[in-house]
Amino acid sequence: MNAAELRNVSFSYGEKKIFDGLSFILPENSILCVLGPNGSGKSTLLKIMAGLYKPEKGVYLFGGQDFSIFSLREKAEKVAFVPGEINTPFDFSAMQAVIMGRFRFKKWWQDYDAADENTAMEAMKTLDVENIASRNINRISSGERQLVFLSQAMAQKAGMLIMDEPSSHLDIKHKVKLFETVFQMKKNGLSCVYASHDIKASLAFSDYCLCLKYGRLFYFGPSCGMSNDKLADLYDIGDAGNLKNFI
Amino acid sequence: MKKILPLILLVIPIEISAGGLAVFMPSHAEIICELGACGEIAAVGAYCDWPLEIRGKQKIGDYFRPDLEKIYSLKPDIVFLTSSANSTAASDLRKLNLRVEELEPEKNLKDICFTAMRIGKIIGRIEEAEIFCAKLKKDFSSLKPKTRKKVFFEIDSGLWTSGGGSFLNEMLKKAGLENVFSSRKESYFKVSWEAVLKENPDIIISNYSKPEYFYSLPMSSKVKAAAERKIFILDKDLRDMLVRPGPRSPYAARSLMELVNE
Amino acid sequence: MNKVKVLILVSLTAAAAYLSLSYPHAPKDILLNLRFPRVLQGFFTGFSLAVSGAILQGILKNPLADPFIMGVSGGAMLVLLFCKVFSIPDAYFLPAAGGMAAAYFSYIVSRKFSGFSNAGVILSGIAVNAFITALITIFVIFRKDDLIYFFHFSFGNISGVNHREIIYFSIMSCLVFLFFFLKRKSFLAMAFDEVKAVSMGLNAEREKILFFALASLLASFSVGMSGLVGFVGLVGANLARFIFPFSSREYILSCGFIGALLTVSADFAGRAAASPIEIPVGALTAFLGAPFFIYLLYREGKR
Repeated sequence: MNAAELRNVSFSYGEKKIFDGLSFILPENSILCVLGPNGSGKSTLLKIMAGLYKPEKGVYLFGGQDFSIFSLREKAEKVAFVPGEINTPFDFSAMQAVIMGRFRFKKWWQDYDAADENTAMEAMKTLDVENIASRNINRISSGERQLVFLSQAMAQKAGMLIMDEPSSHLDIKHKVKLFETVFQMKKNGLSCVYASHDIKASLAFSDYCLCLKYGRLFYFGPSCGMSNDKLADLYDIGDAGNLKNFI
Repeated sequence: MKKILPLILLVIPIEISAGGLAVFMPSHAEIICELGACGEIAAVGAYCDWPLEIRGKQKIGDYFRPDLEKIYSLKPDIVFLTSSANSTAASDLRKLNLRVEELEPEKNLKDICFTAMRIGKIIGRIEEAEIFCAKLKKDFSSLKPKTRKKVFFEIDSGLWTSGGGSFLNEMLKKAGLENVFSSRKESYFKVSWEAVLKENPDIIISNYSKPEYFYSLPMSSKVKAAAERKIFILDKDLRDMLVRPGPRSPYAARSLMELVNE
Repeated sequence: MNKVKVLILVSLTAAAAYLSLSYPHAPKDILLNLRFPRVLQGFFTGFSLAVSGAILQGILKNPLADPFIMGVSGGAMLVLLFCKVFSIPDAYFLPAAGGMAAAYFSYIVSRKFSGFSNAGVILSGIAVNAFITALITIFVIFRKDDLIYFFHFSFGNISGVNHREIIYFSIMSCLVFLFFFLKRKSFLAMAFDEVKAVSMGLNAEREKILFFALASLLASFSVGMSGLVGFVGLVGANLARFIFPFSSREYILSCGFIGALLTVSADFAGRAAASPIEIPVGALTAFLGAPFFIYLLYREGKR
């Protein structure tokens, strides 16, 4: 059984076509990294896989079933999405943000309880941010914020984690923590999809790689299959030799 | 030459012809007609409606928003207004080189005569003005209310009323009524129903609210006016007459007195 | 700690109510029949407006949203205008219904043209309010006698409300508040991030409509019964956020109490300052609220 499959998916924002006839199959229990230049449709693809957008044409299958037929709660059970940016003018503590990940487990009138708080704390511990649990998310560093939002997604306990640029603000220590956690998730039977500009780490920690170049499927296959030359082609870098300094 | 002519007109009262008079205030219009110069009125303010012959005249907007174009096109000889800090009408009109006569607002009944005499002097009807003053005095003094009753007068719905020192207050006094809030000198303010209850007026008069409204207020039975069914709503004519210092004022006071004593 | 703050707030409000009831001194029957209903009406008007403002600020993620932003005040005034024209007595639920209708209209317009985005809602509410205000202005030009009525309406009036209606209003406010409190999780998720909320299993659009409806309901009934009491809806929630964290359990309740405190105090000050002259409550809410708000801003800047 496959974790996810796109069959001939097309999507447009109004007039602008993002991609056309995109197809790939992601096997169960694997990690997929999505690479490509800005504006290639990476975020859009992630949102489709998270069920936030519906394909215009074609179908998105999750665990063999059309994802669009699931209810919102069922979708939340299957996929947890971490957007690239979260902005709120209001003050939430890290704990209050993370505990929101438990939303799908509660009835509409129930409030979060001690058990939820424990799960939230566990998630923060895995990412080494339990010490900032009572801090205001608008006052911590952007790296710490990202880890808090990642904890929130983990507290949701979904089968697949989808992240949009999760490592962009992280220092090396936290980057390592992030990718190690992703790897651990795979060991626990979960899948993960992320878009990132951290090419070396992404390729090192993922099983599969999907490359989008301005809406076209540039490459889909095992991560080890992405050579420096292919990368240079993907990102339109003239001299592949220079890449050695970056990845 | 342009400056001398109005000066001459001020000093030597002569009959005005041609251009005519432009009158904003209904009370001034009533006085001018009473002095026999109705025919000289060329244009009136929006709310002028008495006597009946006024109604057909050209309308020139109201005091706060005069129709400057219309007034200018009519080229009146004199424009009559009430002097007020709130409106630039006087200066706007003077800029159009029109002669503007500002009359002080009336604070009491004697002021009606004062206004009439000033108007009489300006339009050359001094004798008529004197006759008017004499009649006014006679009519007012023939009004002898038997008793003094306490009144709450609601000017606008929501218990907005007037204090002492206003023309309305003087009219009420003439009709044998004492305004329960006359100790305040402000001319327009809101009071609470509680305050009215405390004053316990014998009579309640309202410009717009029906008696049923007052009966429906909590504890209305405690007010003498409600208990004795002495709550009155004024019809439009009486409502207007009471606040127009002019020839109909004695009649208005008398009507009010009769209304509350029936 | 928050609980202590709430206790202080409730005590302050009770003190304001007590002051308002005791001064100027009045016999028992007046207290019961006039003073107490008035204070109660003031309390729930302020409470509803502040809670409404809090809900809207959270959902629109805009600290400057106020309860009248969806055209509620304009809708209420428009209905009152009709009542004047056709000489229908203006029972409170008519302008309340007008307020709700205007809010619904704003929602439809913003949905059609902007997909119900936050900015779209604010813009369409502003447009609806402006349009209705213009209509009213034109109307009163032709009927000068009614100008004063709308003028008074815009200051608010919490006295002279029918006792039974006050009871209905209080019950409704409490029920709406309780329901909203139960839905706290959704509210917080929406105020956090709408996209994230959907991915956590929330029907963001449906919840947004629900919260708008609740906020409009509270605001409409306040306006229908008490006229326009300005500033309370805006300032109540902002003040509360200086004292309580947004996501704390006590936040919304404290918004309500701050609004109630402000309104009851303003009414008291309006009556006591120049007795028997009564300064309308709406004129004083801004007078009292603004300086305190500025002081808190100053303290915030120093942090």
